[in-house]
Amino acid sequence: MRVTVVRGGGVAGMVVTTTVDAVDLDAARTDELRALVAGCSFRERSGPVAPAMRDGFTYEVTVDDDDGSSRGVRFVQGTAPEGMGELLRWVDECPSGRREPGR
Amino acid sequence: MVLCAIAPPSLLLRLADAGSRSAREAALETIRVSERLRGRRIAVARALREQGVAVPPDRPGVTANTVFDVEGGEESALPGRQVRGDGDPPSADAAVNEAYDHAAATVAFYREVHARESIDGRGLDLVSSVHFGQRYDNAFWTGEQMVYGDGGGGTFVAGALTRSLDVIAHELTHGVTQYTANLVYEAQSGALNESFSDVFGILVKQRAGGIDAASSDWLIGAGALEPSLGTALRSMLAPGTAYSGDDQPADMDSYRDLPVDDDPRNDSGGVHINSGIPNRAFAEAARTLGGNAWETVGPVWYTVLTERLRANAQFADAAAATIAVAAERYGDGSREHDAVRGGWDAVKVAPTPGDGAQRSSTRRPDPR
Repeated sequence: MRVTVVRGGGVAGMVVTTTVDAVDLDAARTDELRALVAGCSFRERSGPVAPAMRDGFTYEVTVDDDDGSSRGVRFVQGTAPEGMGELLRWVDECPSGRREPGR
Repeated sequence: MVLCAIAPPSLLLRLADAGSRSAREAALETIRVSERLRGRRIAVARALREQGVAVPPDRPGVTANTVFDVEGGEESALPGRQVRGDGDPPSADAAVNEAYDHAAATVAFYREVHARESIDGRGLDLVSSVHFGQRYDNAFWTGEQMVYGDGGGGTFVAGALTRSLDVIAHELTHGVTQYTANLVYEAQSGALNESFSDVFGILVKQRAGGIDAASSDWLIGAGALEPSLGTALRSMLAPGTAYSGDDQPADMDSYRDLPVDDDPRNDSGGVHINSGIPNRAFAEAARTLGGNAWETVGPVWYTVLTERLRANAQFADAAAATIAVAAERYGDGSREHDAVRGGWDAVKVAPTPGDGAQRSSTRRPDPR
């Protein structure tokens, strides 16, 4: 399983892509990641939540499963689908995550 | 019952929120009366200024400035616990004091330079929340308040977001734009929205530091990024050179025509990318004139933002409007008029024919 988070916007306007691949994780961390992904919704929330927000982050989260299937969702800060906030924090903190700046 | 007016707004808000029913009603009535009085005071001051009468600045604190600590929480926890209001001593927390002082400096700039009372021109209270999220690498305007992360997440130096006066003035200016031109946050109008925030961000910083146009570095967020990434978020004078991977264009030849969609790579049609073009037009005009940019071209940009642009304005409209306002303010063919025209020439933006003033939206169609 591989999780890829593309984060854009913010006051800096930079794009940062962070990838976590289960092959780089030990068994316990892999289980954590799978549990977090299992708890995530990939359906966008409907309706504008904060239309006047400026310099918020925008996200694209993609999960590539071992069977070759793929799921993804895009959302703006503050409208993360269920479970996605926790997954983002975990990916951000993961020591074996690979961060690459650039569009 | 109206509570004593010396009660700080924060106490009134707490009473309105959590007091007994009678205390709550009294607090709410006191808040309403205070709002009405403030509105009248501001209206009188504005009328006097329009008549050319010198009006001393309002006493500090007329616009309440309040900082909250959201303690690592996110949107649902905003604004958080109140940690500093007007009249309170400085906090032991540097982020709290920086958010407080820089918000006050920004509002003082708008009041003293442009006779504007706070974000909305009517004394809107300032609300800032610090310590948003964990090592959160961003500062943003929600539409109602400013929010600051701590940085330290790989993009920003820890503490840099509240330390940077220009970043705070940038965020607050998003509020000013929201209450004035309300530029649509996508493609060129969005890039203008971003650019006005950078323009007034740098002007607030220049004025606070006594920095003239010739000696300014024209950098937004200098020293805020992790040094391995670069020196600043944006360079207004040399767009595309602030950090490794900075892809801001310096003129229309390199304009990035990105789709307006939900892909985070496309930045709502390049709002933080193409803003380099109007940013440079401003910086070039200011440098041509020399002196203090907040006294030369700053007032031209302010008039255009607050009076002349429609929400979907394009670069060419902003060019035409700033050139027209420079001529109105300083004279047709004046140094200032030429400098503003030269700024847009430098970035290869041809002004819309006419004065670019899109006032038709406020006119009713002639029924005849």
